[in-house]
Amino acid sequence: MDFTQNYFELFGVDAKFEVDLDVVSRRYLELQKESHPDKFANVSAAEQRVAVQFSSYINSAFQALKTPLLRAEYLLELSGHPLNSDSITIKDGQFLFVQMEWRESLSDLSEEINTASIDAMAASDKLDTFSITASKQRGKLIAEFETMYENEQFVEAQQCIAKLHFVEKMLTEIELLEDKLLD
Amino acid sequence: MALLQISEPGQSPEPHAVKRAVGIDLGTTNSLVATVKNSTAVALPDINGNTLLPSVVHYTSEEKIVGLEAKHNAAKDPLNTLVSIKRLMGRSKQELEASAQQFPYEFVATESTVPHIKTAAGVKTPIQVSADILVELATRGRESLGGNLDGVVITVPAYFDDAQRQATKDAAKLADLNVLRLLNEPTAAAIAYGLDKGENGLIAIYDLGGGTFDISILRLNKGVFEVLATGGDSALGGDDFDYAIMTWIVGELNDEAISVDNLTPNVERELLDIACALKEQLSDNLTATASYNNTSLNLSRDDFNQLADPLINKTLLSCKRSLRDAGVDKADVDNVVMVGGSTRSFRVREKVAELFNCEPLVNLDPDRVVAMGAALQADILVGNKSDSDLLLLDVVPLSLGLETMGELVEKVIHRNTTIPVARAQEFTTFKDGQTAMAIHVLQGERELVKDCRSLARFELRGIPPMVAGAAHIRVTFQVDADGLLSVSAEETSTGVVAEITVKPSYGLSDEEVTTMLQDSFANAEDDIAARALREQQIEAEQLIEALSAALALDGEALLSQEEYAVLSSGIDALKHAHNNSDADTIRAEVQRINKLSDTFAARRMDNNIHQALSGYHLDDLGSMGSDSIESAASEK
Repeated sequence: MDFTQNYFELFGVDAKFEVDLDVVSRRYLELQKESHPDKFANVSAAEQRVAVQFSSYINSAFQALKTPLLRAEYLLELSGHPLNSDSITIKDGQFLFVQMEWRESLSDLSEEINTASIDAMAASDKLDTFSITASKQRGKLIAEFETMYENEQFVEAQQCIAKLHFVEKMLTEIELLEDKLLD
Repeated sequence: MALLQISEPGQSPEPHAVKRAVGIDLGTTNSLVATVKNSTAVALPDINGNTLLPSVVHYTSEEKIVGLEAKHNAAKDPLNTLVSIKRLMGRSKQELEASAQQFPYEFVATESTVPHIKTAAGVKTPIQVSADILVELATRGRESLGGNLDGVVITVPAYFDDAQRQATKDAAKLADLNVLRLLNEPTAAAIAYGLDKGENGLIAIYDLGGGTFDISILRLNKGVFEVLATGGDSALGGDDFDYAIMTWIVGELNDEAISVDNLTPNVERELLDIACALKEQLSDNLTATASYNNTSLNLSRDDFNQLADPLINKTLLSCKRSLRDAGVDKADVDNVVMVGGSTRSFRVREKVAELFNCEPLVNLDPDRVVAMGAALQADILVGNKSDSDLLLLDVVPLSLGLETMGELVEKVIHRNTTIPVARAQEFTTFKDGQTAMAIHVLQGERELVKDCRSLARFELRGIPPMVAGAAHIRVTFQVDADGLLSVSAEETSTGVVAEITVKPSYGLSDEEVTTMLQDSFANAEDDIAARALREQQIEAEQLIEALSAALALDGEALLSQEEYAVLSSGIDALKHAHNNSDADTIRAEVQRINKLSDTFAARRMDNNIHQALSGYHLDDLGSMGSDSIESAASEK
């Protein structure tokens, strides 16, 4: 149990954005099989505590490695450029403008759904379109991040991830509206 | 923990002795014990051939009676006949008093937080009553296996919290049993079907009992069972089907003297028995017949389907919700396991098959399947089969969070997160010079503090006075493998620390967990409305404050008298809307004022650096989502 290993070292993969999720999942199960507190049911309380902490560490690492946004943020942290939402300002006015527009359209659609002034099927189609656009943007930002990170353009990479936060939030809101429509 | 006897190598006292192990399904209504004989799990019957043991204990001054006979005494001697004791496990007296559910027993005041029930045989706790049921089952096991038991596996619902698991373990200790492991009921069902032998797979366990419905989504990956999600309804089961049929019977009788609302308990019991009989007939026949007061009753499958479908659809919605929680598609589910007597219904099987688009597994007795799985697991753990390395990864059954501004709950650890887990979240101060922060820890899915369960409150003091938003308070949640939570808070620039171990003495009951979940689904819409209103009010407050401050500062310099008047009357209108209106009106008013103040804002920005422009947009966007606490504070 080595807490000084970073997530990538712990899982035995290279510290870059692209990871083999099959390898990561396999390694996760191996690690938990060795370290899960259930395996330490008969040892001292102190050793059990360590097992709990290490098993938590493995869980956090797995979560970070398998989620693109978290993985990107963790890479920035490792490179000494943590993404702290207070200090990062998005400098791309065009991007912000588009975000505003998306939000307005989404909130109009939400209004239409709430007041049932739109057919459920039509609303669902519109949401699909939103979702596709946002997913595309997400893919684009992730690809951009990957390139910038590889080229050690960390400040630009930070910008990408700050933007990605907006897109992710947008996707969450689309999902919530979808839920509402389906319920 | 029993000490293991160690022999010299090669000199084992009983070279090929098979250890005696049983699996116990300690249920709310019925319990069972099973063991492995000739590699097959079998439920053990009593001398009358009954495998089901009603989970009922009748205490008299001379003796205690467990099971069927006790159940028959329930009506005659309700105070001394304890039923459904599982619902009381792991709950405190205070919780029972506050609960809407009525327990007909006489509780005794004691120092302890554990409820004490007065009976003819003395004062009993739920743990003791469960122990009496366990003793009865263990005796069955001993007699069948011909000697003392080396170990037992006891099953618990997947969403049982640590207090409830601990209470179950304590009961086993009282019954003098060596617990090898507490096993989740859905996992046991999957093991009974041998699904752990497969390489990988996604399994849904549909458990419809007499009075409860549980759905669990499990993932199997090379010997590791992972509970991905659990859900259900603690007040939906076979009894509701009987009730629906009874309502139909009352309609068929067409007798003005008999209506569903004014049935005497005896007539109701009689009609419910007929309803149940009709339901059971339909498992094998296309129509069912019975008679009451010379009226003959003919219930066809189609009639029954109409009565049952609304109830079954409720369970299917729970299934969909759990699939979504698990982040999987129903098409990915490889196996559906049916558990609980009510899954014998033809219609239930049909509808479940339709939802998952695969035939559910029904060839094992749905009442026995959990105990059988427990027996198989006990056989492995006791050492009769050493080649298995099953590992079960558990999840948090209910989200854990903190109270934030506006009595909203910010979730820190989401429901169904794999444990153990540690997670930190940063918060900041709301007012200039704020030196203390109240930390309120909550559990539940709802958006508002009042709808969640309060677990603990503590304070972080000694924060050095700073401007609002400058302090960084890092709150860390740690949940261990037993589901126990500890919380610590630290101001990161100064290192001021406060912490607390959250251990509600007797935790959340399964009832409460499921009801809370249920409420959160049912009230999701109300919640969204309430949250929207709060958010709009906060946004309005911020706008009023910001605009008033800006007017005071630059208003006279940058605005004409007329413009100034329009804006200040706009502020008054917004104040009025804030106090008197719904979210939509406030939002409209906020937008109106925002538009009115556009010119003013532009002029102010011209006076400022370019930075302010993008800063403004970022905050504006940020405050629409969950970051409202930070941005609310930083805008001040």
